[in-house]
Amino acid sequence: MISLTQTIIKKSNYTLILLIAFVIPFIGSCVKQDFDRPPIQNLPIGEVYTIGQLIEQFNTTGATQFNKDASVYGIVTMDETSGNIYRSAYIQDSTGAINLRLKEAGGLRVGDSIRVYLKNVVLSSYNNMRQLDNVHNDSNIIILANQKYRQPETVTLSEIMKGNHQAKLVRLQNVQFIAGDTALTYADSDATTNRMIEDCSGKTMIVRTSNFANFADKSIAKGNGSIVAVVGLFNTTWQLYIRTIAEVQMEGARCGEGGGGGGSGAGTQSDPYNIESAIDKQDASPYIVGWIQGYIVGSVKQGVTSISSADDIHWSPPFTSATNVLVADSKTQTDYTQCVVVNLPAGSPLRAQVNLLDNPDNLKKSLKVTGTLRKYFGIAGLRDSPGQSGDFELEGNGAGGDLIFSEEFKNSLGSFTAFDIDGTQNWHWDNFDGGCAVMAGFASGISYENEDWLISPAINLTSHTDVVLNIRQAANHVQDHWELLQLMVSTDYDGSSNPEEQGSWNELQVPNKPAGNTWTFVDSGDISLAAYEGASTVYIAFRYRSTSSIASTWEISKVIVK
Amino acid sequence: MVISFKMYMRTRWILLICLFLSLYATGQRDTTFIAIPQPALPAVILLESDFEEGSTSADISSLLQSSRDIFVSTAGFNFGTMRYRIRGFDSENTKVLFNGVEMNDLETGRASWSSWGGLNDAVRLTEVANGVGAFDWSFGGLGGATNILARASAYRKTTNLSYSASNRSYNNRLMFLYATAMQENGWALSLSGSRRWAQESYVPGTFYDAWAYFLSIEKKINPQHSIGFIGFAAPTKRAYSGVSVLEAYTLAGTTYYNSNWGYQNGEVRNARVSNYHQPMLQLTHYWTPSQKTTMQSTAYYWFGRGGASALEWNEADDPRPDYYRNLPSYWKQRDDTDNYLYYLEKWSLDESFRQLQWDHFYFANTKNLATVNNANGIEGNSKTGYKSKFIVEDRRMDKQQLGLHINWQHQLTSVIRFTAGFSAAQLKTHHHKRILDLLGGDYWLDIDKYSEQEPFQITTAAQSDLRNPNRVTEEGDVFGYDYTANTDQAQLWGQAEWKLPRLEIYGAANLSGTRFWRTGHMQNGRFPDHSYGDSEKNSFLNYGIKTGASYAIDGRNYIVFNGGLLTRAPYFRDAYISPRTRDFTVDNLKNESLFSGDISYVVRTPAIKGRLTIYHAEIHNNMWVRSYYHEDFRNFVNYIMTDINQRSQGIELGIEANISPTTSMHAVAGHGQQIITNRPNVTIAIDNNARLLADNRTVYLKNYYAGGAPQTILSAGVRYNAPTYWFAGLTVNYFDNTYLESNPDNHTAEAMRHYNEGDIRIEKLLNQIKLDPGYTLDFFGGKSWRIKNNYIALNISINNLLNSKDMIIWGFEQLRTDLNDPARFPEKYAYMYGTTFFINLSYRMQ
Repeated sequence: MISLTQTIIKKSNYTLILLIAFVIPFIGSCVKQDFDRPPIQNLPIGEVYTIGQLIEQFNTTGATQFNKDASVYGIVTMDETSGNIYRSAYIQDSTGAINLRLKEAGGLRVGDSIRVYLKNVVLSSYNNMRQLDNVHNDSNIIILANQKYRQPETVTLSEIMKGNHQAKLVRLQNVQFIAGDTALTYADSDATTNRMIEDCSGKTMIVRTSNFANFADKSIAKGNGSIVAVVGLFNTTWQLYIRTIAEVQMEGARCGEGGGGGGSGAGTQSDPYNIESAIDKQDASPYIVGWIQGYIVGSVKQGVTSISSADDIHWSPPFTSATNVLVADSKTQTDYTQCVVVNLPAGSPLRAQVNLLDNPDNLKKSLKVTGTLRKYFGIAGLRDSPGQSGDFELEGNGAGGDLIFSEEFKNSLGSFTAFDIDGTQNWHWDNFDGGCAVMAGFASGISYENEDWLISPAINLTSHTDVVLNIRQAANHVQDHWELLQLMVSTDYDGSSNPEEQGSWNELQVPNKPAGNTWTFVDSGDISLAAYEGASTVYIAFRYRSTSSIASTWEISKVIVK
Repeated sequence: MVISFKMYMRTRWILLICLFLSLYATGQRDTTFIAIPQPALPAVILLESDFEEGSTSADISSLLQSSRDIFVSTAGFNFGTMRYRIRGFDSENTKVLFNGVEMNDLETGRASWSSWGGLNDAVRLTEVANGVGAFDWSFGGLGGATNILARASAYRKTTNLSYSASNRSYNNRLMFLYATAMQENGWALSLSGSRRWAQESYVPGTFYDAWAYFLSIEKKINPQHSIGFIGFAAPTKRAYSGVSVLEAYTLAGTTYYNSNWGYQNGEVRNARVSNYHQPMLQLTHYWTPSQKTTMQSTAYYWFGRGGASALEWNEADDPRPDYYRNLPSYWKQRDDTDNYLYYLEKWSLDESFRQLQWDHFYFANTKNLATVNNANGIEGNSKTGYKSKFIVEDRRMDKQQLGLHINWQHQLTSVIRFTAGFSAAQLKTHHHKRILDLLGGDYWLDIDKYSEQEPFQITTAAQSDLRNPNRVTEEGDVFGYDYTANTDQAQLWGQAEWKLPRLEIYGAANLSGTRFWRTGHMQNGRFPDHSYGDSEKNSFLNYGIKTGASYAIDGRNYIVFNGGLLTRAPYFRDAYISPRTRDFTVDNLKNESLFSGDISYVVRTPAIKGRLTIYHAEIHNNMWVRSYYHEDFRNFVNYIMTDINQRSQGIELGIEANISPTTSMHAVAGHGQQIITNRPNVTIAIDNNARLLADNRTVYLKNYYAGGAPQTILSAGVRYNAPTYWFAGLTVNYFDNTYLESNPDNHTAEAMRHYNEGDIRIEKLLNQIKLDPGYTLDFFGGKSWRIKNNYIALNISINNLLNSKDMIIWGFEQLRTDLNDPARFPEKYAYMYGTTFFINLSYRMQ
């Protein structure tokens, strides 16, 4: 190799200079390829609207285009991933819901908490369906957080038709597809298709599915059960949009068929008919006599003999009549066709304790009463109740006994404490059945391992006898694994430690359990606490467990010790 | 100002330094310099195609230029940009060898000149066979063969330095070659390097950034044995120009509209950048046991990265500015006048509107907060961040090839000569893609954007790799697809030549075995059982024979005849239907058969050199596999056309004549016809799930032109050589009969079912589009000076003097067709560059 270098060096000098001169231009030969990041534009917030305010604005001043900085916040309740909607999304906040018409497809996910920058967005309606139009995915939407899922509100078909649920995420229970549709698929192959669901009183509503939805070619569910959907409106026709086929759970017996497990109650004191069932069973032949339970929502106006409109009823104080109260399944019910008018016989404890004229605070309380299901004031009614103290239960008063402890989870977990032993999911509050504690180990399609306790405060049973416990619960997706949902009791728990490690707990058997595959709330019946009478600190706990394959949802709406 | 010789001798180096420094100062701008070509050989211009779809014949045009045959070199030099194919053969049919090692890619069959781009001086020594003919280094192909001789002892002792300026793909080139030739001490060294660059090439939005290096060393051990090492590579980065529809060119106001670039923060950025660096290392043993026999054995390793970047997007509208939905015609078709006028105005007046909107990609990515549950398959692992909607991905084709070539040449008697050879090679091309730039986002979710989705979860079918589901990927990560194309090949060939006084005859035969298979490195969610691991191996046995004779009528007139017949295994690229997702191959893979025959009349006198040839060639059982979005089926389909037979026949004429001692002329004419001679079969499957949509559909393409290249070329030129070492010449080139490749699915009974007799759309669909003929006027000239033993040469060549910018030289019918409105997806075209020049200044020292 040395000879090689010698060879090179032997070359005359000017060659070397030439070579150097040759190399210099290389320095200038850079080809620029690195790129600066451009500055990112910030979208100002401007004036903040709630969705409710947008709706109000539309209702008063009609369609407008925002030409200044303004924003609205909301949670996405329906996205395009299933293909059922296109260039569209639905957002909802606590004041309302609205449809977003997007300029491009894709990008949003259910649960995204977003801010819509309203400049250039058009608030308008399309065949009576309110919308925010001209929303550019990138220049009008900022995603603030993910997976803040909104729970669907449980409503009835009649409630939807009242008009307050446009674009909202709802859950319907005890509904089924009409018989003629059960042999079809959700959508025909070439066009968006309407199918029909009905409730057990015969009310119907369209379920509209695009032929591009990923479940369009699946067979329609044949049973009765629940469905989660977003409510749409086309002129005067209401329609429902399914988000995912997993939210159609209709496997139960259809209306009028099968045993009492249909979720409408059995008419007994411990399992009363709910109002929908009571309406259904009106004027039967022979008349049905049984217990019903509902919330007191109003009373008929003095002087009215037959109810034909909402104006015939006082839904709020002052009340003018003591002869009756209206009860409904939902506390906020204002549709009289969804109510049962309960006759309060003169001179009875039923009238004295329940009537709204004297006891306006009874409004929205839960009432359980027995009587004959026959029409009253022209609508569904309950009459001929004996009216004695054993014939009714008014919330807050015991049925012939004092309540030692009561928790109804009206707007929070109340006096109960949640203990998270394992898993990310926790006991939390939701608004079903007038307010309940909920625990589910299932989140966004996946089952997670969990162990979570919901523990009562210490209950003093020292001076009581014949103590019973009543709970009102619903459980779904249990798949017969009731051993994962346990009702526990302890007398030596200290009230603050990890219940798995401290306190000796016994399981209590629940005489009346829900079926485990529906959302229906069921009263447990009396659970004897006789073994614990005399104890000064008795703790009642709900022990929830889930695995990566079994994750049920457990809802407790009432815990009473009496 | 006249420079006296004395003055020059004193100041020569200063002059030269000033010259080079002034080059630096003017750096990357167009300047006019005068350059001189090597005497007797035309200047070599690199004609790499920068069109998206990749080049075919343009790849080898440059090596055709080094042929002595006037027809072949003119076809390469003058008509290379029009993609003229000699006798209709694609570059798969021309074998290119580097020092005896075949450089045609085993996976595609093509050789690419850009493998040694920028090493022009180093690769000047070649041996060429035009078409079917005797060749010393391999069996060759029906389109010809070239071997570049690069052993260090073959070079003449020289030091070459050159600078070139141009305005085509690159603007500047610096190149040097240093060769010692074989020295007394038994060593020979050749070293070469170059730098080619352009911040913006001829087409707006494109750049060029290339280096090249070459080293060849030889050591003579004794008179019989020598050992040599050759290593070279040409790392090149360049940005693509685009092919677009007439509407885009018209609105943009230029025939060089390029949809691949856009402004980012005010700077030009191109999304499609090819980046190749594939060094070749060869170790050779040269053995000359006797005067009559030589044997050369080479072991080589060829490896490196290849591929190009591209824009990718998910959950966003197609951002390509000339996508049909982003053009005004889309709105016009929907009768949306407001949007139509808006798009029309923006397209014509706002440049940034009709290019990629990079700033918008960053903006969109930084707003897209998203959470992936069970990211990377880990339960409970949630990743929240800005999920990119737009990214730049690097689509890689990295090569690793190991091989052996043995060549044996033996002059048995003065009349009989034998040559033979054996080669074996194993190629593994790793196809995959990586994230190159997240464009402001935090991650990219690796799922298939075309598969069905579910709210709340990611479906199995959407997973690129079931072994790594819900993958959250960042810059540098492999994603999307990942497989290796394995090809093994072994070849044995032999040739015999008889050289009698008036008759020369040769015959050759070869036998080869090829085996290829796919190895998947990802388990694709759509085809979980057919994507991971080794696929079935496909094996083929092939043979070839060729023969020819040349008869001298007298010392000046010859008749030549050649004929060749060979079978060829299908290429991996055509055999696998959709290798990114699955290992399915086309049913009934069979060998292609090819035949070529020609008769020529050749004249060689001091005054005239000419050749007139009639040829006939046939290709049978060709395959054509494409994937595209099919309107009728509303799905992305794999379109597999098989059993295609093609015929090519025509005449070639090439004449070079000295009109006077100082003036010479050339005339070249080629006229042929390449047509499809049967009705091929087609199978169509949905790409997503391989479901068959059509089987054995007949395509009525009989007698349609194969398309894609001019079938007629004419060239004539004069050249004046002055006694004082300068020359100048002018050439006129004319090309015609270029037809666009047809969209086969339009030529089916199923397509015709949409119409009734007399519908005007039938003709529109079935008519094969013929491009307008074109012509160019080219100038070339140069001067050389000699100083002692050193030469300075200045060459200049200017193409398309008339600066016609509206000649369409290439195009294709879009595969996506709307049978109700064929005008919706019109043809895409590319235009010839206007006036371009190449100026070369070189300095050669002996």
